[in-house]
Amino acid sequence: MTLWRFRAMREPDAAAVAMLRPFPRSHIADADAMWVAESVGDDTCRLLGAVRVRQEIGLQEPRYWYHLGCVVHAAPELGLFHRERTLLLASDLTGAAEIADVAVCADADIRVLRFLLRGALETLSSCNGVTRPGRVIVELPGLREADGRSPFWHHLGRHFYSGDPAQAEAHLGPAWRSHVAALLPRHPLHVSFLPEEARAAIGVVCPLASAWQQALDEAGCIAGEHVTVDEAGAVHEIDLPRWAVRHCWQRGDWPSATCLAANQALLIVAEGQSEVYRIPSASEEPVGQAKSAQLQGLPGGERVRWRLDD
Amino acid sequence: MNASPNDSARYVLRPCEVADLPFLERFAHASAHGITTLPPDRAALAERVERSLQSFATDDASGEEIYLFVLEDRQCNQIVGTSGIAARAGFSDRFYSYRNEYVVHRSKALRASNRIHTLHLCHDLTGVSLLTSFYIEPAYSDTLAPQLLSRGRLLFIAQFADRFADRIAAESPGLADDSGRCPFWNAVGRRFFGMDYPSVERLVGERSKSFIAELMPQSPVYVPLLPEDAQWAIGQLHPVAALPFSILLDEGFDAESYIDIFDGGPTVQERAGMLKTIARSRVVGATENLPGTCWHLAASAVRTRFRATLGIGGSVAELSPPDLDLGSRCRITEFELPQGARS
Repeated sequence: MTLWRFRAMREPDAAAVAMLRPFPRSHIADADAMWVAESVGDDTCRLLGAVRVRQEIGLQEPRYWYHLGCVVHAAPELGLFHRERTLLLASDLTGAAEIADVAVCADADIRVLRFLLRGALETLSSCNGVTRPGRVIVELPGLREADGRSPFWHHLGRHFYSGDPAQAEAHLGPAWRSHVAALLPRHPLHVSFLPEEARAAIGVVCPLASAWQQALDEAGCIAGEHVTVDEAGAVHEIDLPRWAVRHCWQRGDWPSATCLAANQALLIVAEGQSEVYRIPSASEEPVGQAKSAQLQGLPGGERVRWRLDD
Repeated sequence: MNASPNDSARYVLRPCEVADLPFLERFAHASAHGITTLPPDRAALAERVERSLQSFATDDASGEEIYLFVLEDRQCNQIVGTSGIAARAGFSDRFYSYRNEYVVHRSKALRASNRIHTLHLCHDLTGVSLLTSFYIEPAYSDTLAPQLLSRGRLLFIAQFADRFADRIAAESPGLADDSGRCPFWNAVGRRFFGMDYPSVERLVGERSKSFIAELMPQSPVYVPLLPEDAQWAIGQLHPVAALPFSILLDEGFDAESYIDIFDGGPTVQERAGMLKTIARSRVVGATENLPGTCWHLAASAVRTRFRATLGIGGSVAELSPPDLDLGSRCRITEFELPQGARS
């Protein structure tokens, strides 16, 4: 029997994490706040993916996004009515939690992404020692041409920073966006001033991240009113307290004698250890038959919650 | 420019009268580009002439006055040009312009900085006095006539300063082709109206242009985001306006700060007291000695019978012939012939 476990990344994981395939714009070299999902069998353990979970972003170094707004120009007596989209550089999402830097193993499918997201959200929701965040954001990579050119950057950012964004990002890491924001327009921009190619790229997600986007959408983490400053990639948002109340949890010892129906899984959150387990159904066996040492050692009591998951 | 002593007092600037209407109408039809204060419509022109006559006549100036002048060639008794002044731009409404501004951004980490040209929609020039309606017959472009036509207005302002603001501005038409296609409008205004500028003007009709301006984006326009032809058109002059514009520049107007929000043409402005004709002007008696070798602009002190001329002579009485009565307390200013002028 194989179960999935979501836990904080440890030093020995570094080599395996480095072998994962990062999504575009993901930076996995830094282990800080990285979490991993692994498949734990009776005798085997394999890394499925990794993700960074940040608490309260932008409090040390400002973060910036473009806020997508709208203005209406209307003159009823002339029959004119124009609804105009605007972009305003802002730090609106400061203080939110963030899920970032996703990387998965070569054969990962959307189930791994769902588990990474679930693990990250449950971890944030368990709020070990910190204030539980209200909003969680996920920046998705934006549209790029085959040659790596971002149409949005080409028609907007390039006019304000003539350097090579790829080089700057390689040099400064993801924080380069904070630095380049200092060069970007501070006043609202009417989207109609941008060429069609740039307008069409706003909020569009890189096809390589479409499965991740699907997993986010399924969980209710949907595109909000912000896009990234470099590529105009969508920023998905979810209200964590509202997400948490969607599920009914039991506290205490998990039902080891229960047999799971097909397509059913048992989800266990060990809040004290900040670990999340997903035990899939396996034939007619009670879930407690799992011989995973980690699972057998899982404590019960009030710091453990569980529920049956579809 | 040709300026012979025989041309002394040949041209006279005076208030436009109803009888001048056919000339105005001809000028309005001939000036295809950008002179919205000369509508090619007889009734509208007649109304403007009437308003102008009232403005010259009233002792109770409120700021809504417009003053229309015509230029007479006394050699052939023809009206050869027109010009005007609006006492207060916008008057009871707002007068919109784009103000050129430059913002500098810097990022230490990226070791980069930029200097970005922006256009800020503003009302800075609301209430300033506006020079308008300039038109000179093409055959007179290379004579003293346009000099008097343009600068004579400034003498009028100096002579009746309490009727005008202490700041003067003038709009000049921007780049547009023969069909009215205007690169600046196409890049900016058209996005909000979906029609070309001549169509908008027709649609708006007699309404104030501020009505259009209020539908324009209120936030600054970042110039680097505009198409190249629109960027290039910012502050560029339509060729038909080159002559009056050069006179304004020679007067000392600043042409760098503001542009027209519709066609991007330059809107010049300056404090009245800094303009050459006004700053150098003084009130003289009819017999006061003047340097006989200098050209002078001279203007009468009676508002309703205002006359201005350009002449050369040892006194006001000499530089203007007897039939051109400039009165006893006329205002004069020395006029320098532009470089290259033939005297």
